[in-house]
Amino acid sequence: MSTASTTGRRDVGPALDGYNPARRASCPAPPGLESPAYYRIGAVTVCLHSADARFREPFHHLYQRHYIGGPTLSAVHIRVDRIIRVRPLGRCFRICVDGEERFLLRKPQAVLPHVEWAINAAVAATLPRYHQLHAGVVARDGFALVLPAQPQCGKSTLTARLISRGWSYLSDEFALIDPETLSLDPYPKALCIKEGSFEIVDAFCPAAGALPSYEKSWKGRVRLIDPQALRPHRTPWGIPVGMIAFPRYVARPAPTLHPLSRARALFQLLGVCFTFGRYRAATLDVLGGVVERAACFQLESGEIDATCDVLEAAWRAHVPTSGRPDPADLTHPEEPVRPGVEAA
Amino acid sequence: MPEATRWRICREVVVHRIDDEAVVYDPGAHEVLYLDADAFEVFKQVDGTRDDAAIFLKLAQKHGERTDEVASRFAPVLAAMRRHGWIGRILGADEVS
Repeated sequence: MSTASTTGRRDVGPALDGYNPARRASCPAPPGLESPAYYRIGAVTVCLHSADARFREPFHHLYQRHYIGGPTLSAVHIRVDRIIRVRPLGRCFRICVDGEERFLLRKPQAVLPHVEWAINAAVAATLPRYHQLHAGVVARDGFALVLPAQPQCGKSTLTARLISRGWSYLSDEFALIDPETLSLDPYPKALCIKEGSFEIVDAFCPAAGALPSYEKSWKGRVRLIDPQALRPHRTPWGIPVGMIAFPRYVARPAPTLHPLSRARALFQLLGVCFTFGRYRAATLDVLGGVVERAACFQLESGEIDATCDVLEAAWRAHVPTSGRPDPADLTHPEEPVRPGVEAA
Repeated sequence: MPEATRWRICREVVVHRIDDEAVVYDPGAHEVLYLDADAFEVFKQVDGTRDDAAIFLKLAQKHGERTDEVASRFAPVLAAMRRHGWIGRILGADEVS
């Protein structure tokens, strides 16, 4: 039984690292991967427990660069089991997060995106230290471009195109703000591209057309794309925010970018802040500090490259080059502590 | 924070001012309100004043304008703040009609 259906397959030429289905078959998981397997995905450490190779191996191939093998003191623990429920599902797949049941799924094609969904929910609910925004984040010249938005606004597609145009990737889902430095740390998860954007992404990343698509509940079919396949690059850490653009997709070719007052930007950031309920008034101080240092815009995005052109023009006009070292030279911080899980 | 200032109008409401505008946070209701420059101007005059005419008079004195001119400019903002129940919260008491 296959783990996912493949749509839109075509001749894609030489596939990029991590994307070649043939390579996938010839690249078995390392010994000892069976269960559990630990991955440090930027600031988020994940431990996948699954005896089922249909999920374990695709997950590993998406995150093999982040594989750390042995156990760590802190991690989000994801377990995928095959179970039988008398009603209503019968035989089904169960996804648990830190021991708590999160999803019950009938189809194996739905498991991997729901694993990703479960990790995201755990990050939003439990990752300590950071103030978290629902946003895509990329970086250039030592500064970050933050794209905060609700779902279905085109964050991931725009983020993917920016990566392929030379930006470095931090996340397509979370802006993780260190409250002490007001800088951003990465969570470079696989980009989750919805079916409506498959053709757009295929146009600038032909290898993506050969990727399997998965079922993600009401969100429809999705593809999970390794950001390194869009353009090999190092993941930056500790990046200050240079620009914030709130994207909204409008079905017209010409994108527009309107300056936004910093107070308005702060207000809109609060609307996409996962941790506002946790940190409450302190959130205003942190996000207020972020917007004071950033150029803020409302983006009505259109055709993808025209949108990137508009963003990059504004970036050149409003964000100074920092003279910071290349992100590839920045050292990685210590692993963030997530108390209460596997604590000694 | 270098430019944005933060202070309390009354016990319940926290105001985060940025440039001429503000974001107001009510921790009790866990609710935020964005105030553009006009709305923030009204907000600053409300404290201790419940009556529209008195608020407009304070604004007119501050801006050196006629009261009716000020009223025509700020009345929609003041009405919106009353509609959202913010006048009462700024005063630290239930809103009176």
